[in-house]
Amino acid sequence: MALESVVRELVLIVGTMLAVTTLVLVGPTRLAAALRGYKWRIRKVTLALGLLIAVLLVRLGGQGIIPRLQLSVVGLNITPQIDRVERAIFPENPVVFLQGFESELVTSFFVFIYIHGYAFLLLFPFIAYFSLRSMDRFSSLVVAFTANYAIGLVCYVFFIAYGPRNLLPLEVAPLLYDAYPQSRFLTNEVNQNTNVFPSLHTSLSMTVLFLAWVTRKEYPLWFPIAAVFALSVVVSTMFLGIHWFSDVVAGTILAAISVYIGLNLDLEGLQRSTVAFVRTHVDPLLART
Amino acid sequence: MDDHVRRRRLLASLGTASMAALAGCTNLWSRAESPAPEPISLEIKTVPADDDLVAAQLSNRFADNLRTAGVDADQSAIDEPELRREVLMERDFDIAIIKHGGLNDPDALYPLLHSDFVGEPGWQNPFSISDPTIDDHLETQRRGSESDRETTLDDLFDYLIEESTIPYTVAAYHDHLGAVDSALELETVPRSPREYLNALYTAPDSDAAANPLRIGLFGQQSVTRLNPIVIDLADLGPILDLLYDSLVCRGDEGLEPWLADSIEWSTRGDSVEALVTLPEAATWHDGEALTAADVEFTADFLADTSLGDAENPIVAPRYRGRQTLIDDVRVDGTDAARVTFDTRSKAVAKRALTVPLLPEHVWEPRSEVLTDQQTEALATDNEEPIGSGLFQFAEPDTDGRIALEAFEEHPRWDAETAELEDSEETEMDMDTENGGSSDRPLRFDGLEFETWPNPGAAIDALEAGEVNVIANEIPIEEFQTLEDRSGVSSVTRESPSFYMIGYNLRHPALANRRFRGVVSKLLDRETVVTEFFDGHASVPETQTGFAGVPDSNWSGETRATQKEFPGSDGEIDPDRARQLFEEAGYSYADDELVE
Repeated sequence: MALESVVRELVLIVGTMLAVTTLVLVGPTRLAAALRGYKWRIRKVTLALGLLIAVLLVRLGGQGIIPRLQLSVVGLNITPQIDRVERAIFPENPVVFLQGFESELVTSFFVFIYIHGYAFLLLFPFIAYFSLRSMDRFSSLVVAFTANYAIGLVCYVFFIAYGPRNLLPLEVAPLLYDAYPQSRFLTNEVNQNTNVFPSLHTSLSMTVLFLAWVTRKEYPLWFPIAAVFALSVVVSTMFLGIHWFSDVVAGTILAAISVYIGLNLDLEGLQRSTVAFVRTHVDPLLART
Repeated sequence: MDDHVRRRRLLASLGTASMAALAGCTNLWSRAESPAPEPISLEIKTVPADDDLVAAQLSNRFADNLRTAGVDADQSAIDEPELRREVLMERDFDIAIIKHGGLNDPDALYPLLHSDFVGEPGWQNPFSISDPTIDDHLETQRRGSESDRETTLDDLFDYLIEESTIPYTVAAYHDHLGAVDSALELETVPRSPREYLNALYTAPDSDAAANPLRIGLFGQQSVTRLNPIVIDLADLGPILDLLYDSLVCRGDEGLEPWLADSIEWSTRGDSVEALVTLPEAATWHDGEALTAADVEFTADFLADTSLGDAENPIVAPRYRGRQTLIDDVRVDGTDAARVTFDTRSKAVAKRALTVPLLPEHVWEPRSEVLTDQQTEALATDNEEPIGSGLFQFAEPDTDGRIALEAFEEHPRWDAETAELEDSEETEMDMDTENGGSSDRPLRFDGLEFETWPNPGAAIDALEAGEVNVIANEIPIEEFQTLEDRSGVSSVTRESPSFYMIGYNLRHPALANRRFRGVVSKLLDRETVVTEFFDGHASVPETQTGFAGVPDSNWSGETRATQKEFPGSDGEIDPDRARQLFEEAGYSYADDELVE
């Protein structure tokens, strides 16, 4: 009930942002042309999308299992180490420093960025790259997102970490929930409070930013826009007390790895060689029986 | 952390050895001075702020203060089941901040501090303290006469608190913050079976009386596991008390006979003996007669749930301290049992009779040994519990919900007049407006417990009328929002529970009582009460209070001395803290506390 109204608001605001940006950056003609050829476009990226959906399903299905895996098998609680390293490097924890700038306006801005800005930043590239002549960039985007989720998932099994608001309640205010209590419904659906290392908000936003740089020729205006949004999301995760600086660094590294995979993984080649392997090795075996 | 320390020690000792080899003829002193002083580092473990804001705040403040005093302190957050496992099972901690239900009698210190219990899981000496003086006093207070006992305990508390030998300290005693439906005339959240029975008679109208009194719980607890002899994460104590009766229970006047019709006390040599007579009509919830044989069985079973089949006794981890008080139980006719105790104090012996009675016909088959440390009795979920308490189990769990109904055959309770009958030695009055009148008062149709995922959801349910009472302690930040809710009353009651700062004596620095003594001072308890608890807590002042025995439970009047915080208004003064450590024999290198 409460979740529903939060989601409705999210859809309305992000939908408007997407519509306006699409109109300006992509343009109606390019979009219409792309939509007309939707069949081949979809066919081209079926494999990549299938992979992404599979990983998302594992993540969804694993929500109950991951905490148990963490505890019983391999989970290492690295919260004290993160806090310790940051205390050694910085005179003041970066999160505490950022929260020093707190005012109603600043908090509202970062809450908006963390929820709405983030959703917009992640969704727009799908429209933009879908509308390009070739589907290569779209495919890179999907593969990079898949890599983010897959590697992130593995990290969450190995590392148990609570965010700064959970460890340092006297120094770090849970600004997101203070300013926007309803958001708890949303984040509770999506996240576990032990899954902060690395920051997926950071890694996905930085992934979009890195790809925006790659496609700066096709969408020259998108890169500066993505830069403003992505960096704001990164700062917001810390400002709102959700992530450590370390999570953000790890998230950025994860983004770089994921983009590398996204740009270099030849999914079709992989598919072709798999098919070839099956044809030459498995089929004859089957035929014999 | 442990590895870290161990490695350092290894390096240090290697260093010492090689220096010694090289030094040859240099004198002893120069060799002793050669290893570099080690900085003292430790880790504070507690739950994350999401689970318990106050605990996390305490940890944060305490760590800051320790760092200001030059101790290399880290903080760690882990969720509650894991915290309990690491602290109470594996003893894997340096300092832990953990809620304790409170000690209702100094004898409860016996399993907590006696060195006999070092190897046992649960709240049995999790600190690994082994101090002959403490052991000796704990034994003497059991064996000595009543008046000797007080002297012994005074000595013990003095030794624990003034000599700082105690392996933990009390941060603050917090009130139980609760929420109830304002249509019900309830001034507190019920806790004891009697209070639950009283609450049953608060149905405001006949419509309400057609339904059960609905009680909300929240958190990770599951109400499917109702095993009275194990320690579970969830605090299901109150529910288990409703189902399982004891011979003696805590009333307004302290411990009073409850299920026992009468208890005759006598002294034999160094121990007291009790002749317990059961009411003739006593039955279990399934209709079987409750006899003296069940009393005997309960004592034997708690002491060894394998009933002699295992190589070593497999004791029930709950009621461990009380169980050790019972020396022997002999059946003396169907309704009478003669209990001999391992104590000369009647007051202490009574505590042993507060353990829940178990029906032999249900639990005897559960003595089957599963592994070295496990019997069926400790593993079972006991899904359909059969006890003899004021409430009986009505419906098995459906969607995290269980229903209990009033047990009308209970010998202490007259369902017609809604009165609890007097046991021989005591008088009990029903504390309701209708109690005792000839009209049969309106009564809820039993109890229903339901679990909600978090406090907010439980309070929403209370506001929406889906729940009448919330049984759990409500976190302070949620409690403060109750004012804005309609139809919800906030209620508070003093409670013996406290936030414990526990020290693991396996840590080299924490093994030193003088170090612990200084560390225990590094928290401004007054500020903590106003800032973190919004005043809904109290600070310990007496020696017993610092040991976790609230003043209401023991007449300890000796004030603790030398407990003042080295600072003012919650701000620690680094120079004063440093001075305290130096007085305790420690020194500083580069502003870091070293050994």
